[in-house]
Amino acid sequence: MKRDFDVIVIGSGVAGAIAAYRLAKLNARVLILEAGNHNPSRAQMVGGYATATLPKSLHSPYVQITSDKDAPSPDSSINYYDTPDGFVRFRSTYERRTGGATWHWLGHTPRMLRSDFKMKSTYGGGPDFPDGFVDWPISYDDLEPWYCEAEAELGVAGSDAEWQNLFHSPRSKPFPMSMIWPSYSDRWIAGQINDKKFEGSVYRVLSTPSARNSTLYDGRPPCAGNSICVPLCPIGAKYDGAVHVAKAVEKGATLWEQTVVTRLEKDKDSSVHKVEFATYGDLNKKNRRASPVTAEVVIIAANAIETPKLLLISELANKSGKVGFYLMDHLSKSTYGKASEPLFPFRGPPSTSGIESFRDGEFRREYAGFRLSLNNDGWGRKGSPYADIVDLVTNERRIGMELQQALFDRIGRQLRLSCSVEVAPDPANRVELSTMKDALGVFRPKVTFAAPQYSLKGLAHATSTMKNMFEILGEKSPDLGEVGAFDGAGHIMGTCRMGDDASKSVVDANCCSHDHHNLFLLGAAVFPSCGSPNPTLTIAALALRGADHIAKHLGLKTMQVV
Amino acid sequence: MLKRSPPQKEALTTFLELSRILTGVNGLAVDLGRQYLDRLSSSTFAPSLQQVLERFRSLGKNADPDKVKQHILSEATLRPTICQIILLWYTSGMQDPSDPATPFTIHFGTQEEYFSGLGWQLIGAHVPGLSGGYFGHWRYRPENEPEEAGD
Repeated sequence: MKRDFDVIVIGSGVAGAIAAYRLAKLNARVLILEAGNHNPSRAQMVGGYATATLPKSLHSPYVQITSDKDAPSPDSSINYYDTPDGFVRFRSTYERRTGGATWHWLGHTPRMLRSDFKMKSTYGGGPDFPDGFVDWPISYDDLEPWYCEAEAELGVAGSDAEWQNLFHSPRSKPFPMSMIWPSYSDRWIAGQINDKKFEGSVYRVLSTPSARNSTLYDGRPPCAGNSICVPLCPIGAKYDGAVHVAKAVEKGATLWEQTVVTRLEKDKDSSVHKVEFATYGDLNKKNRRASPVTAEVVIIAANAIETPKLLLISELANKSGKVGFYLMDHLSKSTYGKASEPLFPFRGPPSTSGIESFRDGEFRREYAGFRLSLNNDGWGRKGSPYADIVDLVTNERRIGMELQQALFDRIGRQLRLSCSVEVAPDPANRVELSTMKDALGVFRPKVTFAAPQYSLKGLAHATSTMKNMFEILGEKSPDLGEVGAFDGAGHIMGTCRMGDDASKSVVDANCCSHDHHNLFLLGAAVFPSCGSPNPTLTIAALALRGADHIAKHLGLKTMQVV
Repeated sequence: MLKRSPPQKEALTTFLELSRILTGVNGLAVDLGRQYLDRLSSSTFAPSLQQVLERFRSLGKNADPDKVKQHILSEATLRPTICQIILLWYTSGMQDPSDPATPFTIHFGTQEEYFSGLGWQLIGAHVPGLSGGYFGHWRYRPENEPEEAGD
């Protein structure tokens, strides 16, 4: 039977966009279905951000967006997640928009480590944890060539010298671009802290690899340090999924925006070809077919909440009963202090360097690993400089030159350190279907999340590490926040885990459903464990690897990745 | 552009001169001053603003920061308006006095105003969203580096 398309890709974030591009490049007939749209434009979003009320949020640039009602984004003011009684609302969110949540990421692209793929065989199950860790069905070495491909596709700037063989995780190719330069603050901190030891690890400040241009690359300009990577890059120096959506369309892919997939149907032989959808608004309406639409292969690349939600609605890919389980995020915490010298914050990218020393070690038998970030945004998250101006005028009665001087004295040495702590895959953390529906009649996600003890212990160690760093840097009484309190990192992972055992996992090593030979899941939903790095590069590498497998499945001629 | 009546012109002149003393910045943009004056005049700060401008006029041509402190800033009812004038010039933000429980809910005006915030430069930084700099400028101390006060 002739299908409408060779491939339907549901979701146009980084995973879906890259896969669509790769397959369209091989002459597959690709349809991309995106719940949101591409409006407002980048320029409009910059304006929206500028005029949005403080505190500015991830959603500030999108205040004019019209799709919120029909395809709600958790970033918006709509209370989209259904949260069970007794739980705090899941803190990480996403934007339903062409290009996905990469519109408001920092652009950081550290790889996972060798041990991150083999937690069970390296460190055992973890003492406080019922299901324990599992190994990925692929290794670092399996994914390494695809990491290189992903770095080339996204355009990653990094330091080969700093990142070669980090925790026995070698790189086979250089970064496509030289590193994003560390800030003045990073360099000063490195001078104070490098080679000092804490809890058995050695401090070493490394520039953070970033999908942010350090030179003209792929037709996009170098970073100008405009400081608002989150929620958006004003000039397109930072990669976002819309880059590959445009490339896919240029290679012949079809993009339908404002198209919310409502259900997938399986055939008698368990293959999945039929995609039902609902539309809203009038974007691209004239060329659109009526629902359903069919394809030889269906890819769900709709993030780790929307992907399991769609599978649960469709009653697919769930013979294991594991769809929606093992939701992960990174526990994020910011701490605040002042350095003994001016650091000149509020300049350049929000974060340009970090400390990777605590990501791995024998301690991971007991508690979670973590990354530490040095940030260039002062105490902006605590209201600076607005709060400082108000306080200095109102309470200290400063004006004129005296105010200028006091303002710099107040702000010039401000420093924020933050951590990103590994979350263990707890089956109690999960995505289910809510009984409530959105405006289009689609079930909303019910999201249950509480930090596992293993990760809370890691958070405590990360906090004491930041306290130690502040002491070295001259701050004796940093603001460490509430004990055990954390924020979301925006790194939504797990829920459709990858594995060799079909009774315990949802997809195989190629991201293909165990239950349906032509249904693929791309994105962080398939992560069996997450380590502590930002997940986007791993998402991209898995998408490229998955797309290669899909191309072979379709009989398309592929390029060998070495 | 609408022509301004003489009282409005006088108010703008007074506002700009007061703003110069409050911000410590010379050569403030007249157009921005007009916009900020309009925003204040159509806000809940309006009655207090009139008092502040009257009080400032009464200080005469020799007004300086010390006199402004002594005769205007010292008065608790006028202080929020003084603070608001500075906040506008430094950040283009306006506090919402109707919501004292959340003092840092700050509203902005136009894009032009946001990107003209002077306070960022005064701390050696730039307006978030517009660095105006080249790749890597953040590696160095700022060109407009302020100096810390001595202990």
